[in-house]
Amino acid sequence: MIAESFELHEPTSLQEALHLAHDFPGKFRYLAGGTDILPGLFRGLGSAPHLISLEGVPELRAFDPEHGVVGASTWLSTLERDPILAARFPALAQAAHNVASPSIRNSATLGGNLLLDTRCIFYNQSQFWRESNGYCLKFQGTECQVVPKGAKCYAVYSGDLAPALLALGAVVEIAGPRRRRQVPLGTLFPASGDGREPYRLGPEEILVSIGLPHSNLGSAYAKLRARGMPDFPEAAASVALHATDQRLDYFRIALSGVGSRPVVLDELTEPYLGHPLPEADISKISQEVRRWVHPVANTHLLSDYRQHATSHLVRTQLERLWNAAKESTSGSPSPPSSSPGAPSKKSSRPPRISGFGKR
Amino acid sequence: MRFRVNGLDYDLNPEADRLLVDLLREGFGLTGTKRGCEDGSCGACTVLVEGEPRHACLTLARRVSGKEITTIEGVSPGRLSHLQRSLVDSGGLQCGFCAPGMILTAVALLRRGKPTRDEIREAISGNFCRCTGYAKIIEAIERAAEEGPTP
Amino acid sequence: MTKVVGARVPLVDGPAKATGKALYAADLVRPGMLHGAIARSGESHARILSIDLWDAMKEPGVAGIITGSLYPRRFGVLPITRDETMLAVDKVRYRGEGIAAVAATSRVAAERAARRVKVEYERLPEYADPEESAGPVAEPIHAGTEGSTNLQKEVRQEFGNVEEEFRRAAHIVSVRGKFPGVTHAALEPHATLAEWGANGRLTVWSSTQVPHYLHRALAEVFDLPAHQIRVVKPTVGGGFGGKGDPMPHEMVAAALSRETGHPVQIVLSREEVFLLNHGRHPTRNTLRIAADAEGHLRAIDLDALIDGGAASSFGTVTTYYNGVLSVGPYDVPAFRYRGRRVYTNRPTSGAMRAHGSVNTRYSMEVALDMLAEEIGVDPTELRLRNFQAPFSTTVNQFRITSNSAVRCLEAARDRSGWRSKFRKMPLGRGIGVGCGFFISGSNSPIHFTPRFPQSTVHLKLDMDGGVTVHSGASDIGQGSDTVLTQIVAEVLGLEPGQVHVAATDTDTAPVDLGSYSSRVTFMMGNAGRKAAEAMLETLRTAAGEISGRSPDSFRAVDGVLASDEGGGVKVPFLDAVHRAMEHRGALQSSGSYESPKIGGSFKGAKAGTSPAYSYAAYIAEVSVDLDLGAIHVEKVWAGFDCGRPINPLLVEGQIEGSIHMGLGQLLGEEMRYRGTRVMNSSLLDYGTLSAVDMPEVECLLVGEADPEGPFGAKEAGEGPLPPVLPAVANAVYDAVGIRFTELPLSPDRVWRALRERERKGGLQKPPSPGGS
Repeated sequence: MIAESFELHEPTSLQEALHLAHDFPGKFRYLAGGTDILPGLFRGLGSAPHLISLEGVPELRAFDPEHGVVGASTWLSTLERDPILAARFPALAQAAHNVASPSIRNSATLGGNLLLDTRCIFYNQSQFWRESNGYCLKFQGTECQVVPKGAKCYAVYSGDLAPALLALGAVVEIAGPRRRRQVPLGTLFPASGDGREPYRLGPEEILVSIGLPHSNLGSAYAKLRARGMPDFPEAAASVALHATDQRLDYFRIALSGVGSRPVVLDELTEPYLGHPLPEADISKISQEVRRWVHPVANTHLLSDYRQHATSHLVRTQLERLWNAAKESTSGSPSPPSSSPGAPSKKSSRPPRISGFGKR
Repeated sequence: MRFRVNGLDYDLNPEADRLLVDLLREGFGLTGTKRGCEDGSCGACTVLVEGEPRHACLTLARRVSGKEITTIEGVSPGRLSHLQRSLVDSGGLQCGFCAPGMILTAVALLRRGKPTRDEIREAISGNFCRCTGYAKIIEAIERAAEEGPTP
Repeated sequence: MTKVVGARVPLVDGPAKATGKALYAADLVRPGMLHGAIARSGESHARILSIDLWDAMKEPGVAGIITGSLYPRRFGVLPITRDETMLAVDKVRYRGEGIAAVAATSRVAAERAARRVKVEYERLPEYADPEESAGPVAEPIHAGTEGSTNLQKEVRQEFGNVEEEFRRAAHIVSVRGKFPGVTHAALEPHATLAEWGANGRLTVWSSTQVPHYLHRALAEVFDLPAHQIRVVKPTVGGGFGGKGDPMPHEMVAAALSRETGHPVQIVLSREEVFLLNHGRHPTRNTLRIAADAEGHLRAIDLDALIDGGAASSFGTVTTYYNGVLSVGPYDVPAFRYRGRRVYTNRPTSGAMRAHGSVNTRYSMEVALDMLAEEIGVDPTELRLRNFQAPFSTTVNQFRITSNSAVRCLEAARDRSGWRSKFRKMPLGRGIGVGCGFFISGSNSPIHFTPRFPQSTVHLKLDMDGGVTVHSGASDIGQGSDTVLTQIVAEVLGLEPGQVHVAATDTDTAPVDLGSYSSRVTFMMGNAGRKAAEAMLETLRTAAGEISGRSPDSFRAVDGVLASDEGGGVKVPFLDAVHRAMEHRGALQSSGSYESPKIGGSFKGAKAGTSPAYSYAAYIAEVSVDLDLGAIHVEKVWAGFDCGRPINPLLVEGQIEGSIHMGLGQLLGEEMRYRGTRVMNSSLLDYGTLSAVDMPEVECLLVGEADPEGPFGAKEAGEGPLPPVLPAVANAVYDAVGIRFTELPLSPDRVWRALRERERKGGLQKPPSPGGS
């Protein structure tokens, strides 16, 4: 377990970070919490002669849950513990709470989790293993080991935060060498869904922060994993909705862990806007979710199960969120809506669907 | 870079690719911090950075510049803290390899207040133990919590 | 009444472990120490045509490189199956086998150099399927296997008239079980430090369960007189069988030290630990049982095919155990077994906690559940009808002594509320039972010539009054040093703090066969007790001299030697010690344990014989998520008979830990392979259970004292594991009416079975016994 040696750069401003990136074209990687990149580098997953740590960049530390602004360097443990965030954006708090294990969340950041490398049982292996196995399409090889003769890489996008943020309609602020831009989060993930190129981001660009425009949504996140801790999702779904006078005026579903990119199912949900969500529709939607989910056998659990579980996770969240939304008296968009499943300090923890074992 | 380990100040320049776990073990002889998995799943290398549990195997040494580190050796020098005593007396350790990381995780947990049983389970869920089945660890932390917040 | 024995004494090395002061093999540093790394084969089965070390030698910091041809002498934990070399010689047999090894100035330098080793191979056919390996193969993995197969060991046994029993049986039930391999996953990766001294003497510090076997293997591999070798066991971070064999990297560190003249340390990476494996064997078994109309067992007919991987390890024992350990805890008049262990090009399997017993026990306990249902009797009742009687002999001539199986089952049944739950809870919730037994050490040592006692303990007592205990038994975390401390303190009437167990060092510790087969408490405990009693005799004599009372009248209690004679007198312990030391100096005593002659005289008769057996009866309650297939184990009631526990705190720890490991195997742990490739060689991917996955466990220690155990104790390290798997599986059957005979019961597989059952006519609870 050794990495090719690297230099560590510790810029203290965004400009400095961008300059450093400019100085080492093709030879650097940005480093956030390091909980994914470092074990990867020590297993020979890519090389980066220059690591540019973003930890010392104050612009990335913004944290204003009141106004739905969260900097990319925010620790996941901050996200799960902040009471305002949990009340306004329950899905985000729940997603953060479900990442890896508690101490990982003290290092891992929002930006790092969003821009997590895709994963595969043929890729997340040691140098020794991959070399003796002839490598794979994602890295250093020419053949996909999962889908032989496959033209694209099927490595799985396994970020927990992305589906929550997508469901919540997040926008991201990105800083590049010449300009800053704000785009909907979804545009970061190219439709091609190739595990080798999971992000549409300029080589030097830095994710600065996310903005959450809607603070009054009912939202939730649920995850399937092989055991209680600390696994990546085998399937994950997040739902956000809002109803006024018992009619949906916001409705989004987003998924992770079942394909090479996180997916937003606007095509599926949009027809329901302006309508209530009776049980029959909930059933129909959760059934139809399957059409967007085609996992391949590159994680631990069976693919058809992961497809089924995705559907089930959507259904249970829809039921809870719709029941809460239609019962909320006002139906007014005044924030924050009281959402079920918001983690309060001591009692109701967000439900975690765990694969096996207790709790 | 300057940083503080278990209350003592150090001034040194670790290589960029030096992991905190290796610096502590090989550089300082603080071998209570263990290497168990190399991928962040087992928690045996847990140390406190500014009071919060972190994986020393996922932390570059240079990135703790200016920070305060507590390893197992610094938890309660010279005597057992009541958490350590509780872990021993309750049978919450057997081979002991997970104990340093488990204890540091619990130190941070208990500083935040008195946890429920489920909060204890949750807090130590990133610290693997292969010997005890966790029951007596949970019991030990509960007992220590009874005795007060500063273990 | 005892004071220290039977008490919940915390681990004597607990404070050192809780403060980070305990030193494990990877924590040790010697002056001038180099670091070793092993270049490993990327091929599973191939002839080595050439090894090019040139690039590796040019790496900065490299001090020495070795290949297998320099050290071709074979070793293996069983003297009858020495089929390992420290590095591959001529051919490689699994992906990950060592090819060459480097010593360098740092771990990183050594690893970099190891990566530069270039090997040219001629590929040979790979064998991943044990069925294929059992028949004729083009290229046997090892020379000398029978008829050009990969068969490493075949056992055939038959007792009683099996055919006749099956012909006459009122009920016959059969189960085909399929079990993937699982591995120990001790938290401490293996580590070794070897130093070849200036005087030609070799010292090896290693994370080993059996210093004595390592000592022997080193002597063989390096062709040294054994007295030129010293093995030291530092604190060991868990073993579970995975540190029981002498391992290749231990030899490699010694060889590199000899080549370079420096101490050399090797710490395996977690991936290397998975590739070293020696875990529980992937197994397929077919088990048939015959019973009479009332459910009395009449015969067992068992066939097991065991995937041994690339080397023998403990495999011959495994092959026997898969059969002979099926019989207990029940009384069965006829038994037939065919067991075959084959080589494949996978990492070697070996001994893992509850060695050879788990997979057979699973099939057996599931079969009993099926039999109970067929007869219409409660499965706890069926078991009660069949338990072996205490102080009896089995059909394969095991001697049974104390046996509290009935009490175990009754306790678990009462505490769990079995009668109000079994078949009575709603769909998706269930309760199940599983029983078991296990040896308290093997009656027959691996090395039987020359015939040593299985355990010897020495005591030294000097002017300070502290008792130093020398033992070769290895505390690997289970607490054997604490148990030994308690026993010695009890006999000598001292507080545990006055007794100090010296860590295992072959220069000072007498030979002991180490920590495996659950032998330590029983054998070391008896040896320790005898050593302490011998010491007590000396002190009684001294007390008699001081007080004028007869030596025999003295008892040791509370730090004094007390006699009731002549109106009573108390001689302080230290006074007696000083008196005894006059004109002779420090006091020493010795005690040893040798198990009685038991078992039959047929081939393989010794396998599975033990001076005593533990018994267990577990009841587990589960809920099954009908949507997602996840099994939630709510609670386990663990009735356990370890005789009279010397330390209930530690026994509970063994039970809870065993349940953790057993549930892991049942619910998700698995050495996953594609062909010969291990797919999940990391702790993230392997799947040991975390704190949030564990059920509540209630330990019910209901055993009666064993007449031969030290203070009545029997084993508690392995017997607690096997019953939990079938108890949960039988509970799952009670919950959803589906029998699972293939492990693991991961949620995806359970979900598939639930869906299939729904398609075939619906999920429902199984019928109650007697239709009530």
